[in-house]
Amino acid sequence: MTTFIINILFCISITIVCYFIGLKFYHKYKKAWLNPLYTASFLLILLLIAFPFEGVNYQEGSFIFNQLLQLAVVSLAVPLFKQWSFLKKNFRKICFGVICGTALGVITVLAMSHMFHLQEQLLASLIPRSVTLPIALTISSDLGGLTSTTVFFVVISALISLIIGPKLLQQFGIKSRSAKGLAMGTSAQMLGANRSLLWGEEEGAMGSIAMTTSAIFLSVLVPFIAYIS
Amino acid sequence: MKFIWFPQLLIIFGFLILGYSTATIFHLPLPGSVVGMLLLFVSLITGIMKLEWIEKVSSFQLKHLTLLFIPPIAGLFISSGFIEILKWNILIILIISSIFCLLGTAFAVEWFEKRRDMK
Repeated sequence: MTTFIINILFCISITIVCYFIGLKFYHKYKKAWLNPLYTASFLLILLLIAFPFEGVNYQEGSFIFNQLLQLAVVSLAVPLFKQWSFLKKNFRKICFGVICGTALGVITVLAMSHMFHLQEQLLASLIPRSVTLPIALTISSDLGGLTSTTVFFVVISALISLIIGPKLLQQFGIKSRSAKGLAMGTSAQMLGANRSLLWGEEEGAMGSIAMTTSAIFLSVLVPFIAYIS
Repeated sequence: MKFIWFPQLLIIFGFLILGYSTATIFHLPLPGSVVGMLLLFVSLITGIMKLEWIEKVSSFQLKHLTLLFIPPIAGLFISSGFIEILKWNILIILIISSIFCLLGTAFAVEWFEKRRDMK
């Protein structure tokens, strides 16, 4: 029992230390690619691989962060509430755009998985790939996917959207501010919402609304997907 | 300072529990945390909850949301199954579906705005 508690405490502190180092770097150099998400993860992985600590099981110890993530989902109600008047004014536009985008994303995943004959478990981890992470984890485990795999898919696809998104939207001549914000928020969630804030207030607000809406929409959609496939 | 954030955290935790129980009791297809979020949102709108009661903790949580994403990523990289997961076909699926998702949303919104302007 004591080793279990020590393990948890150790995992929590090593993660937090890595995070703050990453954050410090980010604030010092202010480069987008120095996001603590990358630097801290990288540092943590290096540490864990370089020093295989005696009797430490990182996966086991980090379950506490999963619980915190659940709490963070509840907290998402606050930004949603703050933007409520803006959301209400553009309600139909937002819903229409987000539903079209999310549905198209899911359909593409379903169709291509059939093409490549993917395993069901892998497919279940792929479906929530464009939803904000805490909700994606829950959806994935509801569908019978592997949560750790989902994390990876969510992060990778957010990164892909973040890298190609702004260029792609420009190439296809998307000018509407809401369209840009919503597209980034739906596809790259937190990272996209952050990116669209660089374009301006309207895009930024749209980005974070899209993040929340697409997550809610997909978690409503999930039972139907499970029913179909 | 501590006396401010602790009750706030308890409120949010309470909503999480409430969300879980609501989802189980009514057999909702939604994850418990999402139900909790919706319940909190409705309480904020109807004025049952005041924004100040939870604002400090929730903004702190969302500000450091990145921290919570680090353990799952690190856990994945140090686990052995990692190489098996990332194959070229998965990468292609992720890239194509990201493109479709981005363009689908953007075009849908543009179309919607144009249609409204014409009216």
